[in-house]
Amino acid sequence: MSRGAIAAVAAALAAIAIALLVGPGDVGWRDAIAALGRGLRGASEPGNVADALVWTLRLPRVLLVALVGAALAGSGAATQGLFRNPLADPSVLGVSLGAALAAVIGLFLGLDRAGVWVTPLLAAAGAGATLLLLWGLAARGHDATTLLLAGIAIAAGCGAATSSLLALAGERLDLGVRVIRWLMGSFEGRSWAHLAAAAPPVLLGLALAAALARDLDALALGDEVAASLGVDVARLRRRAITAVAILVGTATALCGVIGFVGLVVPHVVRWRAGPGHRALVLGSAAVGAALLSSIDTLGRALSLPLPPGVVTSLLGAPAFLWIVMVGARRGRA
Amino acid sequence: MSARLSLQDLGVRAGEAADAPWLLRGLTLSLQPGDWAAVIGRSGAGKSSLLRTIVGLRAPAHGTVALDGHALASLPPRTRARTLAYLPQHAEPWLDLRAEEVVSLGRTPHLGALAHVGATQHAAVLDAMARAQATALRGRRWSSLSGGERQRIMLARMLATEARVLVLDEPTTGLDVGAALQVLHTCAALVEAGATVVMAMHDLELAGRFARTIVCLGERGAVPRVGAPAEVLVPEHVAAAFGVEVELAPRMVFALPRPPATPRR
Repeated sequence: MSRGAIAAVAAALAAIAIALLVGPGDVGWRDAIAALGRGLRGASEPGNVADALVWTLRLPRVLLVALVGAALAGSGAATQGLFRNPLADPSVLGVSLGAALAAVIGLFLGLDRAGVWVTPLLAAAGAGATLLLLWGLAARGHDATTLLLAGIAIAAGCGAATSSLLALAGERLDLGVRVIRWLMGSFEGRSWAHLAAAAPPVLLGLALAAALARDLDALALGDEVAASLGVDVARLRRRAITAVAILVGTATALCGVIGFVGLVVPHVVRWRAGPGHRALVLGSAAVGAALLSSIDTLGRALSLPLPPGVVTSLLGAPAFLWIVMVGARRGRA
Repeated sequence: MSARLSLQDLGVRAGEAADAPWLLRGLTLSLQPGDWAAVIGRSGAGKSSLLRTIVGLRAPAHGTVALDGHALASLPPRTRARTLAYLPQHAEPWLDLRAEEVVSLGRTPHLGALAHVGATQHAAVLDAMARAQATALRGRRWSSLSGGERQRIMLARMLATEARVLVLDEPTTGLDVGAALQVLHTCAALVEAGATVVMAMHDLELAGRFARTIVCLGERGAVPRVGAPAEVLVPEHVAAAFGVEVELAPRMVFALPRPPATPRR
Protein backbone atom coordinates (compact mmCIF):
# COMPACT_ATOMS: atom_id res chain seq x y z
CA MET A 1 0.00 0.00 0.00
CA SER A 2 1.23 3.45 -0.83
CA ARG A 3 1.61 6.11 1.84
CA GLY A 4 -1.45 7.90 0.53
CA ALA A 5 -3.58 4.76 0.86
CA ILE A 6 -2.37 4.19 4.41
CA ALA A 7 -3.14 7.81 5.24
CA ALA A 8 -6.67 7.54 3.81
CA VAL A 9 -7.46 4.34 5.72
CA ALA A 10 -5.93 5.78 8.91
CA ALA A 11 -8.06 8.92 8.53
CA ALA A 12 -11.20 6.80 8.17
CA LEU A 13 -10.37 4.69 11.23
CA ALA A 14 -9.47 7.77 13.29
CA ALA A 15 -12.71 9.52 12.29
CA ILE A 16 -14.71 6.42 13.26
CA ALA A 17 -12.87 6.17 16.60
CA ILE A 18 -13.46 9.85 17.41
CA ALA A 19 -17.11 9.55 16.39
CA LEU A 20 -17.53 6.73 18.91
CA LEU A 21 -16.36 8.97 21.75
CA VAL A 22 -18.55 11.94 20.99
CA GLY A 23 -22.21 12.42 21.65
CA PRO A 24 -24.76 12.96 24.36
CA GLY A 25 -23.98 11.10 27.56
CA ASP A 26 -20.81 11.27 29.63
CA VAL A 27 -18.67 8.32 28.55
CA GLY A 28 -14.89 8.73 28.70
CA TRP A 29 -12.62 7.03 26.18
CA ARG A 30 -11.58 4.36 28.71
CA ASP A 31 -15.21 3.50 29.39
CA ALA A 32 -15.91 3.52 25.66
CA ILE A 33 -13.05 1.11 24.94
CA ALA A 34 -14.11 -1.15 27.81
CA ALA A 35 -17.67 -1.14 26.48
CA LEU A 36 -16.42 -1.98 22.97
CA GLY A 37 -14.36 -4.85 24.38
CA ARG A 38 -17.33 -6.25 26.29
CA GLY A 39 -19.49 -5.94 23.19
CA LEU A 40 -16.91 -7.80 21.06
CA ARG A 41 -16.77 -10.59 23.63
CA GLY A 42 -20.56 -10.71 23.67
CA ALA A 43 -20.46 -9.77 27.34
CA SER A 44 -22.31 -6.47 27.31
CA GLU A 45 -23.86 -5.79 30.68
CA PRO A 46 -27.56 -4.99 30.61
CA GLY A 47 -28.11 -1.76 32.49
CA ASN A 48 -24.55 -0.52 31.92
CA VAL A 49 -24.94 3.00 30.47
CA ALA A 50 -21.61 2.94 28.61
CA ASP A 51 -22.46 -0.39 27.00
CA ALA A 52 -25.87 0.82 25.90
CA LEU A 53 -24.53 4.11 24.55
CA VAL A 54 -21.42 2.87 22.78
CA TRP A 55 -22.37 -0.59 21.66
CA THR A 56 -26.06 -0.26 20.94
CA LEU A 57 -26.45 3.37 19.89
CA ARG A 58 -23.16 4.82 18.68
CA LEU A 59 -21.26 1.97 17.02
CA PRO A 60 -23.93 0.93 14.47
CA ARG A 61 -24.67 4.55 13.62
CA VAL A 62 -21.00 5.47 13.25
CA LEU A 63 -20.22 2.45 11.08
CA LEU A 64 -23.32 3.08 8.96
CA VAL A 65 -22.32 6.72 8.44
CA ALA A 66 -18.82 5.61 7.40
CA LEU A 67 -20.27 3.07 4.96
CA VAL A 68 -22.60 5.65 3.45
CA GLY A 69 -19.72 8.10 3.07
CA ALA A 70 -17.65 5.39 1.39
CA ALA A 71 -20.55 4.48 -0.92
CA LEU A 72 -21.22 8.06 -2.00
CA ALA A 73 -17.57 9.03 -2.58
CA GLY A 74 -16.61 5.73 -4.23
CA SER A 75 -19.59 5.94 -6.58
CA GLY A 76 -18.68 9.55 -7.33
CA ALA A 77 -15.23 8.47 -8.52
CA ALA A 78 -16.77 5.82 -10.78
CA THR A 79 -19.39 8.25 -12.12
CA GLN A 80 -16.81 10.87 -13.07
CA GLY A 81 -14.69 8.26 -14.83
CA LEU A 82 -17.68 6.82 -16.67
CA PHE A 83 -18.88 10.18 -17.96
CA ARG A 84 -15.36 11.58 -18.39
CA ASN A 85 -16.65 14.62 -16.59
CA PRO A 86 -15.33 16.19 -13.39
CA LEU A 87 -18.75 17.74 -12.75
CA ALA A 88 -20.49 14.39 -12.63
CA ASP A 89 -21.85 13.35 -9.28
CA PRO A 90 -23.67 10.10 -8.59
CA SER A 91 -26.92 12.08 -8.40
CA VAL A 92 -26.68 12.94 -12.14
CA LEU A 93 -27.90 9.43 -12.92
CA GLY A 94 -31.13 10.28 -11.13
CA VAL A 95 -30.84 7.27 -8.85
CA SER A 96 -30.96 9.16 -5.56
CA LEU A 97 -33.96 11.26 -6.60
CA GLY A 98 -35.66 8.15 -8.03
CA ALA A 99 -35.18 6.52 -4.65
CA ALA A 100 -36.41 9.64 -2.89
CA LEU A 101 -39.56 9.85 -5.02
CA ALA A 102 -40.53 6.25 -4.22
CA ALA A 103 -39.93 6.87 -0.52
CA VAL A 104 -41.95 10.09 -0.55
CA ILE A 105 -44.85 8.38 -2.34
CA GLY A 106 -44.80 5.80 0.46
CA LEU A 107 -44.82 8.53 3.12
CA PHE A 108 -47.61 10.33 1.28
CA LEU A 109 -49.77 7.22 1.25
CA GLY A 110 -48.95 6.56 4.87
CA LEU A 111 -47.32 3.24 4.08
CA ASP A 112 -44.53 3.98 6.57
CA ARG A 113 -46.92 3.26 9.40
CA ALA A 114 -46.64 -0.42 8.50
CA GLY A 115 -43.06 -0.56 9.81
CA VAL A 116 -39.68 1.16 9.90
CA TRP A 117 -38.45 -0.82 6.91
CA VAL A 118 -41.13 0.30 4.48
CA THR A 119 -39.46 3.58 3.54
CA PRO A 120 -35.95 2.13 2.98
CA LEU A 121 -37.42 -0.72 0.92
CA LEU A 122 -39.46 1.67 -1.19
CA ALA A 123 -36.39 3.85 -1.73
CA ALA A 124 -34.38 0.81 -2.78
CA ALA A 125 -37.16 -0.12 -5.20
CA GLY A 126 -37.11 3.43 -6.58
CA ALA A 127 -33.34 3.20 -7.11
CA GLY A 128 -33.80 -0.18 -8.79
CA ALA A 129 -36.51 1.17 -11.12
CA THR A 130 -34.24 4.06 -12.11
CA LEU A 131 -31.43 1.59 -12.78
CA LEU A 132 -33.70 -0.48 -15.06
CA LEU A 133 -34.61 2.67 -16.98
CA LEU A 134 -30.92 3.56 -17.39
CA TRP A 135 -30.11 -0.02 -18.48
CA GLY A 136 -32.81 0.25 -21.12
CA LEU A 137 -31.25 3.43 -22.44
CA ALA A 138 -27.72 1.98 -22.38
CA ALA A 139 -28.88 -1.19 -24.16
CA ARG A 140 -30.18 0.89 -27.07
CA GLY A 141 -26.59 1.88 -27.73
CA HIS A 142 -26.76 5.46 -26.56
CA ASP A 143 -23.44 7.10 -25.80
CA ALA A 144 -22.32 8.46 -22.45
CA THR A 145 -23.50 12.00 -23.14
CA THR A 146 -27.03 10.83 -23.99
CA LEU A 147 -27.04 8.72 -20.84
CA LEU A 148 -25.89 11.70 -18.78
CA LEU A 149 -28.60 13.93 -20.22
CA ALA A 150 -31.20 11.21 -19.66
CA GLY A 151 -30.04 10.88 -16.05
CA ILE A 152 -30.40 14.62 -15.55
CA ALA A 153 -33.90 14.46 -17.05
CA ILE A 154 -34.84 11.55 -14.77
CA ALA A 155 -33.48 13.45 -11.76
CA ALA A 156 -35.40 16.60 -12.73
CA GLY A 157 -38.61 14.64 -13.29
CA CYS A 158 -38.35 12.79 -9.97
CA GLY A 159 -37.49 16.05 -8.19
CA ALA A 160 -40.52 17.77 -9.71
CA ALA A 161 -42.82 14.87 -8.77
CA THR A 162 -41.45 14.96 -5.22
CA SER A 163 -42.04 18.73 -5.02
CA SER A 164 -45.59 18.24 -6.31
CA LEU A 165 -46.30 15.72 -3.59
CA LEU A 166 -44.86 18.11 -1.03
CA ALA A 167 -47.11 20.90 -2.32
CA LEU A 168 -50.13 18.58 -2.22
CA ALA A 169 -49.20 17.72 1.35
CA GLY A 170 -49.13 21.41 2.28
CA GLU A 171 -52.19 21.11 4.47
CA ARG A 172 -50.88 18.07 6.31
CA LEU A 173 -48.05 19.61 8.25
CA ASP A 174 -46.92 16.43 9.99
CA LEU A 175 -46.54 14.69 6.63
CA GLY A 176 -44.60 17.61 5.18
CA VAL A 177 -42.21 17.55 8.12
CA ARG A 178 -41.68 13.79 7.81
CA VAL A 179 -41.00 14.08 4.08
CA ILE A 180 -38.57 16.98 4.42
CA ARG A 181 -36.77 15.32 7.30
CA TRP A 182 -36.34 12.18 5.22
CA LEU A 183 -35.26 14.07 2.10
CA MET A 184 -32.54 15.99 3.91
CA GLY A 185 -30.99 12.85 5.25
CA SER A 186 -30.74 11.57 8.77
CA PHE A 187 -28.53 9.28 10.83
CA GLU A 188 -30.79 9.34 13.88
CA GLY A 189 -31.74 6.05 15.47
CA ARG A 190 -29.82 3.89 12.97
CA SER A 191 -29.31 0.42 14.43
CA TRP A 192 -27.37 -2.77 13.83
CA ALA A 193 -30.21 -3.85 11.55
CA HIS A 194 -29.61 -0.81 9.32
CA LEU A 195 -25.90 -1.57 9.27
CA ALA A 196 -26.54 -5.20 8.38
CA ALA A 197 -28.76 -4.07 5.52
CA ALA A 198 -26.18 -1.58 4.24
CA ALA A 199 -22.92 -3.52 4.50
CA PRO A 200 -23.41 -6.24 1.84
CA PRO A 201 -24.61 -3.97 -1.01
CA VAL A 202 -22.06 -1.24 -0.24
CA LEU A 203 -19.14 -3.68 -0.12
CA LEU A 204 -20.43 -5.39 -3.28
CA GLY A 205 -20.84 -2.05 -5.07
CA LEU A 206 -17.35 -0.88 -4.10
CA ALA A 207 -15.80 -4.19 -5.19
CA LEU A 208 -17.63 -3.96 -8.52
CA ALA A 209 -16.50 -0.35 -9.05
CA ALA A 210 -12.88 -1.23 -8.19
CA ALA A 211 -13.00 -4.20 -10.56
CA LEU A 212 -13.83 -1.77 -13.38
CA ALA A 213 -10.67 0.25 -12.66
CA ARG A 214 -8.67 -0.80 -15.73
CA ASP A 215 -11.53 -0.18 -18.13
CA LEU A 216 -12.48 3.15 -16.56
CA ASP A 217 -8.83 4.20 -16.90
CA ALA A 218 -8.90 3.27 -20.60
CA LEU A 219 -11.93 5.55 -21.09
CA ALA A 220 -9.61 8.52 -20.39
CA LEU A 221 -9.07 8.99 -24.13
CA GLY A 222 -12.67 8.35 -25.14
CA ASP A 223 -14.88 5.46 -26.25
CA GLU A 224 -13.03 4.76 -29.51
CA VAL A 225 -9.58 4.44 -27.96
CA ALA A 226 -10.96 2.36 -25.10
CA ALA A 227 -12.69 0.04 -27.56
CA SER A 228 -9.51 -0.26 -29.64
CA LEU A 229 -7.70 -1.23 -26.43
CA GLY A 230 -10.04 -4.20 -26.04
CA VAL A 231 -12.60 -2.67 -23.67
CA ASP A 232 -16.25 -3.61 -24.22
CA VAL A 233 -17.49 -0.06 -23.67
CA ALA A 234 -21.21 -0.91 -23.65
CA ARG A 235 -20.65 -3.60 -21.02
CA LEU A 236 -18.45 -1.28 -18.97
CA ARG A 237 -21.21 1.35 -19.04
CA ARG A 238 -23.83 -1.14 -17.82
CA ARG A 239 -21.60 -2.41 -15.03
CA ALA A 240 -20.55 1.04 -13.86
CA ILE A 241 -24.20 2.22 -13.80
CA THR A 242 -25.07 -0.87 -11.78
CA ALA A 243 -22.30 -0.30 -9.24
CA VAL A 244 -23.23 3.36 -8.83
CA ALA A 245 -26.94 2.56 -8.48
CA ILE A 246 -26.27 -0.10 -5.84
CA LEU A 247 -24.10 2.29 -3.84
CA VAL A 248 -26.26 5.40 -4.13
CA GLY A 249 -29.51 3.45 -3.81
CA THR A 250 -28.35 1.84 -0.58
CA ALA A 251 -27.07 5.12 0.86
CA THR A 252 -30.27 6.97 -0.02
CA ALA A 253 -32.56 4.20 1.19
CA LEU A 254 -30.94 4.12 4.62
CA CYS A 255 -29.96 7.74 5.23
CA GLY A 256 -31.85 9.93 2.75
CA VAL A 257 -30.42 12.25 0.12
CA ILE A 258 -26.88 13.40 0.96
CA GLY A 259 -25.21 15.55 -1.67
CA PHE A 260 -21.75 16.83 -2.49
CA VAL A 261 -19.73 13.95 -0.95
CA GLY A 262 -19.68 12.10 -4.27
CA LEU A 263 -18.76 15.25 -6.18
CA VAL A 264 -16.06 16.71 -3.92
CA VAL A 265 -14.14 13.76 -2.48
CA PRO A 266 -12.85 12.24 -5.77
CA HIS A 267 -11.34 15.61 -6.73
CA VAL A 268 -9.31 15.83 -3.52
CA VAL A 269 -8.25 12.17 -3.72
CA ARG A 270 -7.16 12.60 -7.33
CA TRP A 271 -4.57 15.18 -6.26
CA ARG A 272 -2.77 12.59 -4.17
CA ALA A 273 -3.70 9.27 -5.76
CA GLY A 274 -3.51 10.33 -9.40
CA PRO A 275 -6.01 9.45 -12.13
CA GLY A 276 -5.92 5.62 -11.81
CA HIS A 277 -9.35 4.36 -10.80
CA ARG A 278 -8.23 1.54 -8.51
CA ALA A 279 -6.60 3.99 -6.10
CA LEU A 280 -9.23 6.60 -6.85
CA VAL A 281 -12.33 4.48 -6.09
CA LEU A 282 -10.91 2.87 -2.96
CA GLY A 283 -9.18 6.06 -1.79
CA SER A 284 -12.37 8.06 -2.29
CA ALA A 285 -14.28 5.43 -0.31
CA ALA A 286 -11.85 5.77 2.62
CA VAL A 287 -11.82 9.57 2.52
CA GLY A 288 -15.62 9.68 2.07
CA ALA A 289 -16.01 7.50 5.17
CA ALA A 290 -13.70 9.82 7.13
CA LEU A 291 -15.49 12.93 5.87
CA LEU A 292 -19.05 11.88 6.58
CA SER A 293 -18.07 10.43 9.98
CA SER A 294 -16.41 13.74 10.86
CA ILE A 295 -19.44 15.73 9.74
CA ASP A 296 -21.68 13.53 11.89
CA THR A 297 -19.30 13.89 14.84
CA LEU A 298 -19.27 17.66 14.42
CA GLY A 299 -23.04 17.79 14.29
CA ARG A 300 -23.39 15.69 17.43
CA ALA A 301 -20.64 17.52 19.33
CA LEU A 302 -22.23 20.90 18.64
CA SER A 303 -25.76 19.47 18.91
CA LEU A 304 -26.47 21.06 15.52
CA PRO A 305 -30.14 20.82 14.71
CA LEU A 306 -29.27 20.44 11.02
CA PRO A 307 -29.72 17.23 9.06
CA PRO A 308 -26.48 15.79 7.58
CA GLY A 309 -27.61 16.33 3.99
CA VAL A 310 -27.77 20.06 4.72
CA VAL A 311 -24.41 20.11 6.52
CA THR A 312 -22.63 18.33 3.66
CA SER A 313 -24.03 20.88 1.22
CA LEU A 314 -23.24 23.83 3.51
CA LEU A 315 -19.63 22.66 3.84
CA GLY A 316 -19.41 21.11 0.41
CA ALA A 317 -20.31 24.17 -1.64
CA PRO A 318 -17.46 26.41 -0.40
CA ALA A 319 -15.09 23.43 -0.29
CA PHE A 320 -15.87 22.64 -3.92
CA LEU A 321 -15.33 26.27 -4.90
CA TRP A 322 -11.92 26.19 -3.17
CA ILE A 323 -11.03 22.91 -4.88
CA VAL A 324 -11.93 24.31 -8.27
CA MET A 325 -9.81 27.42 -7.70
CA VAL A 326 -6.81 25.45 -6.40
CA GLY A 327 -7.26 22.88 -9.13
CA ALA A 328 -7.26 25.61 -11.76
CA ARG A 329 -4.05 27.03 -10.29
CA ARG A 330 -2.42 23.61 -10.22
CA GLY A 331 -3.49 23.03 -13.79
CA ARG A 332 -5.68 20.06 -13.02
CA ALA A 333 -9.20 20.16 -11.70
CA MET B 1 1.54 -18.16 -45.21
CA SER B 2 -1.49 -16.03 -44.48
CA ALA B 3 -1.12 -12.30 -44.70
CA ARG B 4 -0.75 -10.34 -41.52
CA LEU B 5 -3.69 -8.11 -42.42
CA SER B 6 -6.01 -8.97 -45.25
CA LEU B 7 -9.14 -7.27 -46.49
CA GLN B 8 -11.34 -9.49 -48.64
CA ASP B 9 -13.97 -7.84 -50.85
CA LEU B 10 -14.56 -5.29 -48.11
CA GLY B 11 -17.57 -3.00 -48.31
CA VAL B 12 -18.15 -0.01 -46.00
CA ARG B 13 -21.36 1.95 -45.69
CA ALA B 14 -21.79 5.57 -44.54
CA GLY B 15 -23.58 4.47 -41.37
CA GLU B 16 -24.55 1.46 -39.30
CA ALA B 17 -27.96 1.21 -40.98
CA ALA B 18 -28.41 -1.63 -43.48
CA ASP B 19 -29.62 0.77 -46.19
CA ALA B 20 -26.97 3.48 -45.66
CA PRO B 21 -25.23 4.43 -48.90
CA TRP B 22 -22.01 2.63 -49.76
CA LEU B 23 -18.79 4.53 -49.19
CA LEU B 24 -16.65 1.94 -50.89
CA ARG B 25 -17.02 -1.59 -52.17
CA GLY B 26 -14.88 -4.49 -53.27
CA LEU B 27 -11.64 -3.53 -51.51
CA THR B 28 -9.23 -6.45 -51.47
CA LEU B 29 -5.83 -5.87 -49.94
CA SER B 30 -3.20 -8.04 -48.34
CA LEU B 31 -0.45 -6.58 -46.18
CA GLN B 32 2.68 -8.27 -44.83
CA PRO B 33 5.13 -7.29 -42.10
CA GLY B 34 7.04 -4.25 -43.35
CA ASP B 35 4.18 -3.00 -45.51
CA TRP B 36 2.85 0.56 -45.31
CA ALA B 37 -0.47 1.34 -46.95
CA ALA B 38 -1.63 4.94 -47.26
CA VAL B 39 -5.37 5.56 -47.58
CA ILE B 40 -6.07 8.73 -49.57
CA GLY B 41 -9.21 10.37 -50.85
CA ARG B 42 -11.17 13.54 -50.46
CA SER B 43 -12.91 14.50 -47.22
CA GLY B 44 -15.98 12.37 -46.66
CA ALA B 45 -14.78 9.68 -49.04
CA GLY B 46 -14.73 7.19 -46.15
CA LYS B 47 -11.10 7.07 -45.02
CA SER B 48 -11.98 7.13 -41.32
CA SER B 49 -14.87 4.70 -41.76
CA LEU B 50 -12.56 2.29 -43.56
CA LEU B 51 -9.97 2.49 -40.78
CA ARG B 52 -12.60 2.01 -38.09
CA THR B 53 -13.80 -1.10 -39.92
CA ILE B 54 -10.24 -2.44 -40.18
CA VAL B 55 -9.77 -1.91 -36.43
CA GLY B 56 -13.05 -3.65 -35.60
CA LEU B 57 -14.85 -0.62 -34.17
CA ARG B 58 -17.60 -1.28 -36.68
CA ALA B 59 -18.60 -4.42 -38.50
CA PRO B 60 -17.88 -4.68 -42.23
CA ALA B 61 -21.05 -4.17 -44.26
CA HIS B 62 -19.63 -6.72 -46.70
CA GLY B 63 -16.57 -8.97 -46.87
CA THR B 64 -14.04 -9.70 -44.14
CA VAL B 65 -11.06 -8.29 -42.29
CA ALA B 66 -8.58 -10.96 -41.20
CA LEU B 67 -5.60 -10.74 -38.88
CA ASP B 68 -2.93 -13.44 -39.32
CA GLY B 69 -5.57 -15.51 -41.09
CA HIS B 70 -8.20 -15.18 -38.36
CA ALA B 71 -11.39 -13.25 -39.01
CA LEU B 72 -11.25 -10.11 -36.87
CA ALA B 73 -14.76 -10.66 -35.53
CA SER B 74 -13.75 -14.07 -34.14
CA LEU B 75 -10.92 -12.69 -32.01
CA PRO B 76 -11.53 -11.77 -28.36
CA PRO B 77 -11.27 -7.97 -28.07
CA ARG B 78 -8.24 -8.03 -25.79
CA THR B 79 -6.36 -10.44 -28.05
CA ARG B 80 -7.16 -8.24 -31.02
CA ALA B 81 -5.99 -5.17 -29.10
CA ARG B 82 -2.58 -6.75 -28.50
CA THR B 83 -2.11 -7.28 -32.25
CA LEU B 84 -3.87 -4.27 -33.77
CA ALA B 85 -3.53 -0.72 -32.46
CA TYR B 86 -5.46 2.35 -33.52
CA LEU B 87 -4.76 6.07 -33.38
CA PRO B 88 -7.96 8.02 -34.11
CA GLN B 89 -7.95 11.55 -35.44
CA HIS B 90 -9.30 13.09 -32.27
CA ALA B 91 -8.60 11.78 -28.79
CA GLU B 92 -8.12 13.97 -25.76
CA PRO B 93 -7.81 12.95 -22.12
CA TRP B 94 -10.63 14.39 -20.00
CA LEU B 95 -8.23 15.01 -17.14
CA ASP B 96 -4.97 16.89 -17.50
CA LEU B 97 -2.89 13.70 -17.43
CA ARG B 98 0.88 13.48 -17.47
CA ALA B 99 2.42 12.24 -20.71
CA GLU B 100 3.56 8.99 -19.12
CA GLU B 101 0.04 8.33 -17.77
CA VAL B 102 -1.37 8.68 -21.27
CA VAL B 103 1.22 6.30 -22.72
CA SER B 104 0.61 3.70 -20.02
CA LEU B 105 -3.05 3.48 -21.13
CA GLY B 106 -1.63 1.56 -24.09
CA ARG B 107 -0.87 -1.29 -21.70
CA THR B 108 -4.61 -1.82 -21.07
CA PRO B 109 -4.88 -5.07 -23.10
CA HIS B 110 -2.04 -6.54 -21.03
CA LEU B 111 -3.42 -5.60 -17.61
CA GLY B 112 -5.62 -7.45 -15.15
CA ALA B 113 -8.97 -5.94 -14.17
CA LEU B 114 -7.48 -3.99 -11.25
CA ALA B 115 -4.99 -2.25 -13.54
CA HIS B 116 -1.90 -3.14 -11.55
CA VAL B 117 1.08 -1.79 -13.50
CA GLY B 118 4.12 -3.87 -12.63
CA ALA B 119 7.80 -3.51 -13.57
CA THR B 120 7.46 -5.22 -16.99
CA GLN B 121 4.53 -2.94 -17.83
CA HIS B 122 6.59 0.05 -16.82
CA ALA B 123 9.53 -1.05 -18.97
CA ALA B 124 7.20 -1.42 -21.97
CA VAL B 125 5.89 2.12 -21.41
CA LEU B 126 9.40 3.57 -21.29
CA ASP B 127 10.40 1.60 -24.38
CA ALA B 128 7.38 2.90 -26.30
CA MET B 129 8.19 6.49 -25.29
CA ALA B 130 11.78 6.03 -26.44
CA ARG B 131 10.69 4.70 -29.84
CA ALA B 132 8.34 7.65 -30.30
CA GLN B 133 11.08 10.08 -29.20
CA ALA B 134 8.87 11.15 -26.32
CA THR B 135 11.05 10.20 -23.35
CA ALA B 136 11.86 13.82 -22.51
CA LEU B 137 8.12 14.58 -22.21
CA ARG B 138 7.47 11.94 -19.53
CA GLY B 139 6.38 14.16 -16.65
CA ARG B 140 4.73 16.90 -18.69
CA ARG B 141 1.02 17.62 -18.41
CA TRP B 142 -1.16 17.21 -21.50
CA SER B 143 -2.24 20.87 -21.39
CA SER B 144 1.40 22.00 -21.62
CA LEU B 145 2.22 19.98 -24.75
CA SER B 146 2.27 21.32 -28.30
CA GLY B 147 0.37 19.58 -31.10
CA GLY B 148 3.49 17.76 -32.30
CA GLU B 149 4.39 16.65 -28.78
CA ARG B 150 0.86 15.39 -28.18
CA GLN B 151 0.99 13.34 -31.36
CA ARG B 152 4.31 11.77 -30.28
CA ILE B 153 2.68 10.85 -26.95
CA MET B 154 -0.30 9.34 -28.78
CA LEU B 155 2.09 7.42 -30.98
CA ALA B 156 3.90 6.11 -27.89
CA ARG B 157 0.50 5.20 -26.38
CA MET B 158 -0.18 3.16 -29.49
CA LEU B 159 3.24 1.49 -29.44
CA ALA B 160 2.83 0.57 -25.76
CA THR B 161 0.26 -2.02 -26.85
CA GLU B 162 3.15 -3.87 -28.60
CA ALA B 163 0.78 -4.40 -31.53
CA ARG B 164 2.33 -5.33 -34.89
CA VAL B 165 -0.40 -3.78 -37.01
CA LEU B 166 -0.74 -0.01 -36.58
CA VAL B 167 -3.75 1.85 -37.95
CA LEU B 168 -3.46 5.64 -37.87
CA ASP B 169 -6.04 8.23 -38.94
CA GLU B 170 -4.28 11.31 -40.37
CA PRO B 171 -1.70 11.54 -37.58
CA THR B 172 0.02 14.57 -39.14
CA THR B 173 -3.07 16.79 -39.45
CA GLY B 174 -2.42 20.20 -37.92
CA LEU B 175 1.31 19.60 -37.43
CA ASP B 176 4.05 21.75 -38.94
CA VAL B 177 6.13 20.05 -41.60
CA GLY B 178 8.97 19.17 -39.20
CA ALA B 179 6.72 17.63 -36.57
CA ALA B 180 4.82 15.77 -39.29
CA LEU B 181 8.03 14.33 -40.71
CA GLN B 182 9.11 13.26 -37.24
CA VAL B 183 5.88 11.26 -36.78
CA LEU B 184 6.27 9.67 -40.22
CA HIS B 185 9.93 8.80 -39.66
CA THR B 186 9.00 7.09 -36.40
CA CYS B 187 6.45 5.01 -38.33
CA ALA B 188 9.03 4.29 -41.03
CA ALA B 189 11.43 2.94 -38.40
CA LEU B 190 8.67 0.71 -37.05
CA VAL B 191 7.85 -0.60 -40.51
CA GLU B 192 11.53 -1.34 -41.07
CA ALA B 193 11.45 -3.32 -37.82
CA GLY B 194 8.57 -5.43 -39.14
CA ALA B 195 5.41 -3.52 -38.25
CA THR B 196 2.51 -3.17 -40.69
CA VAL B 197 1.10 0.34 -41.07
CA VAL B 198 -2.24 1.47 -42.48
CA MET B 199 -2.48 5.26 -42.46
CA ALA B 200 -5.03 7.74 -43.72
CA MET B 201 -2.99 10.57 -45.22
CA HIS B 202 -4.06 13.90 -46.66
CA ASP B 203 -0.64 14.99 -47.92
CA LEU B 204 -0.20 13.18 -51.24
CA GLU B 205 3.48 14.07 -51.51
CA LEU B 206 4.24 12.47 -48.13
CA ALA B 207 1.97 9.51 -48.94
CA GLY B 208 3.95 8.86 -52.08
CA ARG B 209 7.23 9.19 -50.25
CA PHE B 210 6.55 6.90 -47.26
CA ALA B 211 3.92 4.35 -48.29
CA ARG B 212 4.55 1.24 -50.37
CA THR B 213 0.89 0.84 -51.27
CA ILE B 214 -1.68 3.54 -52.00
CA VAL B 215 -5.39 2.90 -51.46
CA CYS B 216 -7.20 5.70 -53.28
CA LEU B 217 -10.89 6.13 -52.47
CA GLY B 218 -12.73 7.60 -55.41
CA GLU B 219 -16.43 8.23 -56.01
CA ARG B 220 -18.80 7.11 -53.26
CA GLY B 221 -19.53 3.41 -53.57
CA ALA B 222 -16.75 2.75 -56.07
CA VAL B 223 -14.00 0.17 -55.85
CA PRO B 224 -10.87 1.89 -54.49
CA ARG B 225 -7.79 2.00 -56.70
CA VAL B 226 -4.96 0.04 -55.07
CA GLY B 227 -1.35 0.01 -56.20
CA ALA B 228 2.19 1.29 -55.83
CA PRO B 229 2.57 5.09 -55.56
CA ALA B 230 3.96 5.25 -59.11
CA GLU B 231 0.77 3.61 -60.44
CA VAL B 232 -1.84 5.45 -58.38
CA LEU B 233 -0.37 8.87 -57.74
CA VAL B 234 -0.46 9.95 -61.36
CA PRO B 235 -2.24 13.09 -62.57
CA GLU B 236 -5.24 11.42 -64.19
CA HIS B 237 -6.14 9.25 -61.14
CA VAL B 238 -5.53 12.02 -58.61
CA ALA B 239 -7.60 14.43 -60.71
CA ALA B 240 -10.47 11.94 -60.85
CA ALA B 241 -10.38 11.06 -57.16
CA PHE B 242 -10.11 14.60 -55.82
CA GLY B 243 -12.07 16.46 -58.46
CA VAL B 244 -9.18 18.77 -59.27
CA GLU B 245 -6.93 19.53 -62.18
CA VAL B 246 -3.34 18.42 -61.73
CA GLU B 247 -0.37 20.22 -63.17
CA LEU B 248 3.20 19.01 -62.76
CA ALA B 249 5.56 21.71 -61.53
CA PRO B 250 8.84 22.08 -59.65
CA ARG B 251 8.17 21.91 -55.93
CA MET B 252 9.82 22.30 -52.56
CA VAL B 253 10.69 19.03 -50.85
CA PHE B 254 11.06 18.84 -47.09
CA ALA B 255 13.22 16.38 -45.18
CA LEU B 256 14.49 16.13 -41.65
CA PRO B 257 18.15 17.15 -41.35
CA ARG B 258 20.57 14.24 -41.02
CA PRO B 259 21.40 13.00 -38.46
CA PRO B 260 17.72 13.18 -37.46
CA ALA B 261 16.85 16.21 -35.35
CA THR B 262 16.84 15.70 -31.60
CA PRO B 263 13.33 15.83 -30.13
CA ARG B 264 12.29 19.43 -29.73
CA ARG B 265 11.26 20.53 -26.28
